[in-house]
Parts: sequence; structure tokens; C-alpha cells
Amino acid sequence: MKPILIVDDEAAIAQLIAMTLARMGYTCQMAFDGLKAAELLEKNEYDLVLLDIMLPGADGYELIDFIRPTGIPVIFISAKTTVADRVKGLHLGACDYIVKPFAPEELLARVENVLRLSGRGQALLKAGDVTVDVATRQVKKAGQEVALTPTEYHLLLVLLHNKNIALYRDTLYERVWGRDAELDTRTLDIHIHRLRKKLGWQHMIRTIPRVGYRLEETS
Amino acid sequence: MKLAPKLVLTILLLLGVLLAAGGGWLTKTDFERNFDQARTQNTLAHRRDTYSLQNGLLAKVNDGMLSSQAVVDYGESLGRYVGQQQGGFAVYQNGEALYSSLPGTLGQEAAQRAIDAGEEALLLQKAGQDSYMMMASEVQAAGEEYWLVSAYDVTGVFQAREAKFRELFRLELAALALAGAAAALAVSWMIRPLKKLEKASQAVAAGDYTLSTATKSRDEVGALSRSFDAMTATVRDKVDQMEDTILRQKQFVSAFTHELKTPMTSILGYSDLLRSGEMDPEDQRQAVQYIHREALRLETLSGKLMQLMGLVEQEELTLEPVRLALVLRDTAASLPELAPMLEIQCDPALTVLADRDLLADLVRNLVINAARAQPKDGRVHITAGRTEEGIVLRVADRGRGIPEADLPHITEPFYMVDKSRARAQNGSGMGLALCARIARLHGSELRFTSRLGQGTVVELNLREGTV
Repeated sequence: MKPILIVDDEAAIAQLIAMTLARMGYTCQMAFDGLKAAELLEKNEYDLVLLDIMLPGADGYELIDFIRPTGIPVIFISAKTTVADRVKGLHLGACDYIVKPFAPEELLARVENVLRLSGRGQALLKAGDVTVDVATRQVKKAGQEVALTPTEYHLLLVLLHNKNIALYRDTLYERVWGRDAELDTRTLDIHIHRLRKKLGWQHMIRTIPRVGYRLEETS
Repeated sequence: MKLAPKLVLTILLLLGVLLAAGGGWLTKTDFERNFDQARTQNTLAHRRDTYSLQNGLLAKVNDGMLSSQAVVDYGESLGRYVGQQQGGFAVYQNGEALYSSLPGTLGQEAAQRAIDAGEEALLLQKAGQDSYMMMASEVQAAGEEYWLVSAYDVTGVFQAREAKFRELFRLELAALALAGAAAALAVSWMIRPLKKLEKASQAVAAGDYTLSTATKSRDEVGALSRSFDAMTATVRDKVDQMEDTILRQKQFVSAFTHELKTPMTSILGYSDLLRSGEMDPEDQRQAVQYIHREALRLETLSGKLMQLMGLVEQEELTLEPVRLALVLRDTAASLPELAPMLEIQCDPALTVLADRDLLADLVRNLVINAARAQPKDGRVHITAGRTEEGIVLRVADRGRGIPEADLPHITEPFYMVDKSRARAQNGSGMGLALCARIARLHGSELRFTSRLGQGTVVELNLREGTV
């Protein structure tokens, strides 16, 4: 897979995006101004460009004109939130438009979507012999379809998005059940238990004492 | 009813009444003159006839007697002589007509009335279409009393009057029509500025303040249109000002939210990463670092913003005489890390009218900017001196300079010539906005001169004060 190019003049935000994507196994390169980005685009090939609009050197609108002929999909990431700005970005040929501030999960979901739709990313999420087809929501273990409830499916996705990372129980719970749900980690434990049983993942989903759970995949 | 028809109708009404009265009076006097003339003439004719009847009858008296036949004969001969086109006459005795050449339409009664009216009394008698003047006189012959009744046709006099009236009426109609047209033209010309004014006020009501009535006339309408123009000009200025203020507020808010969003994104994003699961220690350290730095940035931003807001609300400062050297010492003391760069030239005796803290703040911001421009000689020069326009304070550096295109904007809040460099140096984009506001509160203005690669000079005039 080719790397993803992140263009943002704010090092903090470029780094944040890179860190978020790195967890999913994407490799990223960063450019902090328009000219540097153009230079990198000349030299290297990318699967996706995440583009800020207000940039020193050449701004995002100029850069997208430069990128369009190469066919590399572009997602705008901007603090410009008005409908007019977003429509302009999409009209210029961006595949999506993410508004700052964004949640890492949202960024990830949108990046995956664009990659999948442009046929560049993985159509399937994998861990061990389990594959998940995000487009059809089909989960298979060793080629055999496994039926999951929506909550179990959601939980599985969060685990797959954070492979080999120990996830805190309360954050994990919030991600799946939502911010407004009353914290009840017993429910989380029950669902983890069911997932382990359905997927035969007794050893893949590790319980980390006083932290939470981790999906382990040694590749 | 509209003003124009009102005026025209009023004019026509007045004119009509005047013309009618004048014409009527003229016709009346004219008629009276004619009538009197006819009367005098007819009276003379009547007397002549009376006299000739008297004479004629006396000549016919035979033996002290006068036969009726004689009277008739005489009448006929007189009638032939006088002619009967203009009326006629009759001779009466004891209420009996002995002879009559009076027009048939007049009849007995008319003659009798003339006799009853008395000697030479004028009697006007209408008979059909014609009018007659009738007079009667007594004639005595041979002890008998006769009456001569004459009738004179005065139809012409009356007809002339009527003709005159008709003529007058036609004349008046023509005059009114002409006058009406002229008045309508004149009135419409006079109220043309009013129409313009109406159009302009409709335009103003619809929000268009650009129309001017521009009337040259010196009358009241002209004065009205001029004051209307003055009014719209004032309103236009006010509206422009308000729109300008709203635009600037909008720009400010949008710049402000944009400025907020960047640190927010970092803080939210990194904290979310931190709380979701364990990270490798290096990433974790970096995330915490970023959160802290961005939070500091927000803090600086909010501090500066609060100060600017406070200064914007403040209309006037109480300025006190203060020694400039002391202000510059305050500035230097607040910037210990930049102190070695400062090169201050200031006469210790110079005293200015200022708010000591705010002026020190202004100089401080200018010094920070100068230092960030990375001067080639590593110096920031602060000089103060007396000129004709008061005391001039100058902060100069030989740093990278400001691009010409950016110069007009640098005092706008959140404006940054080089955003990423300003961020890296913890700039908020508020410094010069604050400086400009403080300068204005001192009744002054910041003057920037800058050349790329050569450096920047900022000057500020201050009023001299006495201790």
C-alpha cells in the first residue's frame, strides 16, 4: 500500500492525523506548506491526500488542481465550516470534507470510506482468520459467515481499528454505546465474552487488568 | 386629488370668475349705452312725431271740429312718411285706436299701458321675438284729447347684447382652455422636483441611497430637495458605516473561531487518543506536549482578546504626564529574555502624556515583533525624540521586513503575515491590533515603513507633557 500524504501547516494537527492513521497501519507523510506538498506529490505516489485549505505557499484550492490529474483521492480537512466552503471543496473534486475539530474515529471512518470507494484501500478488515467486509457488513471466520448483532459488530470494528492497543474499558464502552449511555462495564464484558465465543477469539482478545481489552494479532 | 389638477382647477376657477365678471360688466355698460342712445333717439323721434301730429291735426281742424276720418287720414300720411320698419305708431282717443300702424304682435293692451304710464314714459314691451320701446304723448286739437303711441323696435339692442354674451362665452372658453393648458404645463414644471423627490424617497425606502434629486431651483421645492439629498447622504454614510462595522465584526468572529478551532482540534484529538488506550511512551509524551502547548496558545489568545475587548469598549483614557524613559524601562523589565537585544536612545527628561502601563504594553508588543523578525544585527532599536509634531517614538529592526501587500492589514485582529512562523513563535495575531488600539487611545496612529529583507520601522507620535 502507498502512503497517505497529510498537508497541514499546523504540525500539531498533521501529527495528530498521522498518529491516528498509524494505529490502523497506514503509513503517512507530512507536508507543512503547499509548496512542499507539491514537491512530494511530484516525487512520490500516494493513495490519499488529506488537505488543509489555508496553507502558506500554495493553498488547498490551488493544490487540488494540481492533484486532480493524478487521480489521487483528496479529503479536505479545514476549520472553514460554512456550507459554501464545503460545497466549494467538494465541487473542486474532493472526495470528502472533514471539519475541524474532528474526532479520530470520524477521520478514520472517512479515510477508510474514501479508500474503499476509490478501490485503493483494503475492502476487508482482517485479524487472524476473521475477515470483515465493511461494505456488506459481512463477518466471516475461515470462510464461514458468522452472525453478529449490531452492537457486537460495532465492538468488533473498534477492536479492529485499534489492533494491538490496550483500550480503556470506559472509552471502549463510550465508543460503542455512545457518550450518553450510562457506564455499565458489565455489559461490555458480556459482549466481549460473546465475541470471543462466536469468533473463537478466547486468546486474541486479551483482558488487561485495570486497563481493559486488547485485540492481539502477531503477524 | 393630486396637487397638479388641484392647482390647475383653482387657477381656472379664479380665471373663469374674473373673466365672467369682467365680460359681464363690459357687456352691461355697453348695452346700457346703446339702450340710452336708442332711448334718446326714440324720445326725439316721438317728440317730433307728436309735434307733427299736433300740427297736422290742427291744420285739419275744421270749424273747431276734427273728424275721426281726418285723424286716420293724417295718421296714414304720417305713417307713409315715417315708414313702419322700425315699429309704428297709433293714435288713440278715449281708449279707442283711431289709427294704428303698430306691429300686430303688440296688441291693444300694450298701447293702453303706454297711455296709462303717462306722458313720455318709457315702456318696454316684448312681442314674440321682438322688443319695442313704447312711448305715449297727449295731443290736443279742437278741444279733443288724443294720444300718440309710438313703438320703436329695439330688438337689435337686445340681440347685440346676447350676441356679445355668446361671443364672450366662446372667448372665455377659449381663454380657459389656453390658460388651463398653460397652467398645467407650468404646474407640472414646478412640481417636477417633487416627482423626483418622491422617486428618490421610494428608492431610499427600498434601501437604495445612491439616488440624488439634484434640483437647481432656488424655491422651496429646491430647498426641500437639497435638504433631502443632504439627509440621504447622511443616512447613506451611517448605513455604510454600520455595514462596515458588521462586516468587520463578521470577519473578526470568523477569524476568531478559526483561531480557536486549530488548538481545539489538537487538544480534543490528542486527549482522545490518550484516553482511548495505551500509547507508546514517545507518542504519549508528544501528545501531552501538544495539548499543553495548544492550551497555552488558547490562554494567550484569550488574554489578548480580553485586553482588546476592554480597550475597544474604553472610549477615552486618562492620560498623565509620564517620563518616557520610565515607560521604556518597564518594557525592558517585562522582557528579560530580549533585554540584551534592546538599544534604547531616549532623553531622560522627555515627558509624554500617556497611560504608563498601556504604552509600555504597546512598546513591548512592537519589540517582540521586531525580535521575531530576526534582525541581522541582533538588535531592536528604540529611539525617542522631539519633533515639530510632538514626541516621536520609533521601534526599528533590521529583520526580514513585511511584504508590501500585507502592510495595510497587519493591524487587523488575527492577521498574520506568515501564519506558521507566527504559530511557531507563539504569536496570536492580536499584538498589532492591540498596539493600534492603544495608539488610537493616545490620539495617535501607528506608522509602518518596511522593506523586505531590510527591516521595519514603526513610528508613533505622542503629545508632550509637563511634570
